[in-house]
Amino acid sequence: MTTANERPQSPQSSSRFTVRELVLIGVLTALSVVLQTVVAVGLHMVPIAAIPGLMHGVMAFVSCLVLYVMARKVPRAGTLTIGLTTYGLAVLILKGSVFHSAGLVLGGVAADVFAHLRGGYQGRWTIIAALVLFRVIATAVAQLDKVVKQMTQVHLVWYFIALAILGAAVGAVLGGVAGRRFMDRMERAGVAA
Amino acid sequence: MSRAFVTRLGERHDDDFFEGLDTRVKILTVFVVTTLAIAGPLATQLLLVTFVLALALSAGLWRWAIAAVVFSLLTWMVLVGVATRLQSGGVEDPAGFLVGIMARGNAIFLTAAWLITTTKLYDFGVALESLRVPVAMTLPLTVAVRFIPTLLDEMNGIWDALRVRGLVRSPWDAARHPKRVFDLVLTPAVLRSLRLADELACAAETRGMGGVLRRTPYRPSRMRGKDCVVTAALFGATALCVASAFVVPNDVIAGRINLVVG
Amino acid sequence: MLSVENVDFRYAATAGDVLRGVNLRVAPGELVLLTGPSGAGKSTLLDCVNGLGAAAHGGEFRGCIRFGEEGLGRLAPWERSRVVATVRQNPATQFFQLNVGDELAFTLEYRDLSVGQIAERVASTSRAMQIDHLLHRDIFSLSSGERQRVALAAMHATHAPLLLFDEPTANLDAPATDLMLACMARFKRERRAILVVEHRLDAIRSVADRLVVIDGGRVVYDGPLDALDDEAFCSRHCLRHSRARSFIELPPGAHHPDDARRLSARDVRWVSRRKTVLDNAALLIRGGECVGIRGTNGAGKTSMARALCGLEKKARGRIDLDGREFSPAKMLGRVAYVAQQSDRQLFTDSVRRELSGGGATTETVNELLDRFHLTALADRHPQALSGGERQRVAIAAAMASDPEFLILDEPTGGMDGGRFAALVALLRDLTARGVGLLLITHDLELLHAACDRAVEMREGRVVREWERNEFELLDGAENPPAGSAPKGEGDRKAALKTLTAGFVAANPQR
Repeated sequence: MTTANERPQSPQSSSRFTVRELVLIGVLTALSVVLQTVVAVGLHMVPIAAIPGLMHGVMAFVSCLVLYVMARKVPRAGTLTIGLTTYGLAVLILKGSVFHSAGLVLGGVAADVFAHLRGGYQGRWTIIAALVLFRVIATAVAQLDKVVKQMTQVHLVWYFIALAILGAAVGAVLGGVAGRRFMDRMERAGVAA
Repeated sequence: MSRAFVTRLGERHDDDFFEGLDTRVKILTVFVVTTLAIAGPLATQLLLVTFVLALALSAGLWRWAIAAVVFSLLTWMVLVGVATRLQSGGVEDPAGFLVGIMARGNAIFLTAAWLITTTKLYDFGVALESLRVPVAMTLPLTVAVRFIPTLLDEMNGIWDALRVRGLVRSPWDAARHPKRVFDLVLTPAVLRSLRLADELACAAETRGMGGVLRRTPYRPSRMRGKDCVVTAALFGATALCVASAFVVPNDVIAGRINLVVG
Repeated sequence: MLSVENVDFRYAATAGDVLRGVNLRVAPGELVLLTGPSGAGKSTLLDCVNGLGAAAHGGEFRGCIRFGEEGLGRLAPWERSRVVATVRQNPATQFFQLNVGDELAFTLEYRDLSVGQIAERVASTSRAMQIDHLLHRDIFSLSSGERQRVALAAMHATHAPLLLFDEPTANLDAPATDLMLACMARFKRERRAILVVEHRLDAIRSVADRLVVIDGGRVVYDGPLDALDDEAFCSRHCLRHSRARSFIELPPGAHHPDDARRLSARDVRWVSRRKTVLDNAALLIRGGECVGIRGTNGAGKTSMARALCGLEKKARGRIDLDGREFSPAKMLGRVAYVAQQSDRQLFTDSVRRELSGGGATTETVNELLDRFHLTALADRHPQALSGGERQRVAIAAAMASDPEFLILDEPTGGMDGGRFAALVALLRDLTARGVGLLLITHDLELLHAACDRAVEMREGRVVREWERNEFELLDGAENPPAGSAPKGEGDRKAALKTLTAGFVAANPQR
């Protein structure tokens, strides 16, 4: 039934991420996309969504909460780069937003470099700080989209951009802390160990 | 992003010209258009958006094209209106602003829309791998996009359970008590995701994934005759767009547009 | 031949051995049915054969597993994949691609095969499994029966000589079960060795050659299937019943339907995306009565239940609850509903909070904990409990608002005999307290054990009804007559016939 050359490929030590870890990164990325979409749809129903920076803060909160779970479940250098590159490519495929995608990739790389310099994703505050760095960079780069699309001389837009970055930073801190609490609670209950 | 959109990423139509185009050619097109849209002078951008509109219409994206043009016009009108109210002088250069929002924004948006509506997820992954992107990057992408319909089902199930138990009555409850509802949704959503990830990982391992993540694609990326023709046309159009900037300077176009707009 | 010799297995997270000195043989062309109580080690044994046991769960393996002359014990799961193919309960969590053709090629792409060889294998498999017309489709737009067929086709494409199935019929309706059995019979004729772990024994019994029972990590029986007819043997090892005549019978006079309390639906209609899901459906449930709904997947069972409890806002029609008339949209919160996946219905971090979440008083919560045997688990995290315990918590939480009617969707999926009996006792207790129950199930044994009446839905309508004394007519009633099957599924018998013919045409060497 099976031909002689039909052999699965042999394992190689250079492949640092296992299939299991890569699948987990993919699934949590999908969860991040879905949760952000659901929250964004819900938030658009209320007028407070129009407050400058709030939307970016809430989105940062949701994504960083899930990314915290990702960093704790796969605490390797490169986890956020892979996860956020995946996210960036998914955004590119699903929304066609070039700058949004680029921001996510750059933010992920910066977060991983930061965590690497701090000795990896073992420290909980290191994860939170890496998430804040990611979100600030991602939001800042994503704003280029607006600059290019609008090329406007309306000076107010710069306040919006500053508020978006600030909102993202605050949201990332809160999301990271919420993710930390969530994972601690789940691990104490023996659920997500 | 709807379920229908994910279906579009999976369903194949062999007779579709653009679907059969090598994905690398399409990625190159997006890259060239984005670069020219950002860096190119006015004449280049105007030609560029003409080409992109032709591309979008020939791919059957006329609804996307109309929506993009109408949306950008409305945005321009609203922002110019707001600026005029807030600032005594209004927008300094409404013509430049209109070109920016119409040409740059729409060129990038419509090319990206053309890429995503004519490319299957599998082909995108294979194209990235042929561009030396490791499977370690493309596998999570495939998993993530493939998992979105499953997770949407999960979220619907969780939402229904909340409603039928009386923990949430309507979407307004979520708007009124966002923290409480988010806390309720989070636990089952994350834990179901972790369980489903475990099942999917088990399926991957028992189906032969592991060790060196290298594959022989069933539908490999190949440059065929039509890909070469499209690539040549792309370079030709790029050269034309760039050359146009030397023939027609910025200030001449800006003057004409201001004449029309003003 | 698969040889499992003196296999012990211990999970890293648990103290004792899960498998102890297990011996098992499966010959080419033989289908061995492996069963036993939950937690006995059945799935662990499958994971030891396909390599997931140690790789995925960090366990310690001792013993020898060979296929033919080749030792499998030291190989990683992906290295075993050319010999072993596994199909799990839920095909949706086994697919990696969005497109059917790409999915069939998935396993082959990670072998050293050429593009031409892969394409040839995909083409021959799609012909053999009669899925040529699905090759270009998106997997997630397929019906559940079509998805099952794609999962089996992906297994077929590997040409693996050893096939493992983990509870393959747990959630299948009758036509999908028949398709599964036809494929298994075909795989047997292709001289593949097949090992099936299953709790629902009624269907699988017809194609099985031998029975192996595991209890407490040991093989306690290895022999003919006749042992399943021994009531004492089945009870001792918590096995489900495999023949209608031996199903648990409801004690006479166990239920006393209360005509004063009624939940009735009339002319319920729901059209979704131009497809008629419910077509003037009608249904009656009385207080203290248990009614079972059966029917093929897509017949409208779950949609009917969702309309009754107010989850389908766009459904139209009239629903009477205790004499008051409501539109389906106004039914939310009036009827309790427990869906199949209990883990997505548990939201808090302790069982006690789960029961009190809807505003129940401390007395009510304590009474529910006691009645549902959850007192010892009151402070545990609901998601950390076993599947059966999670389901009990979900039902208890649904009952916290003291509803008069409760709907359960496929409550017996993956249950062993012990958990099944406990669930039936729980349902009887609820009906004795006057609660009206509606069970959506493919499980014939559950209908016999718990229901006073059964109805069948087809194409959005209730088409047949059986009183308790007519239940012997239930066997096979779920199979739609020729020509009336839902669009896309085709006539079951014709499909099976063409499937069989397709196998022969595509595999002339067999």
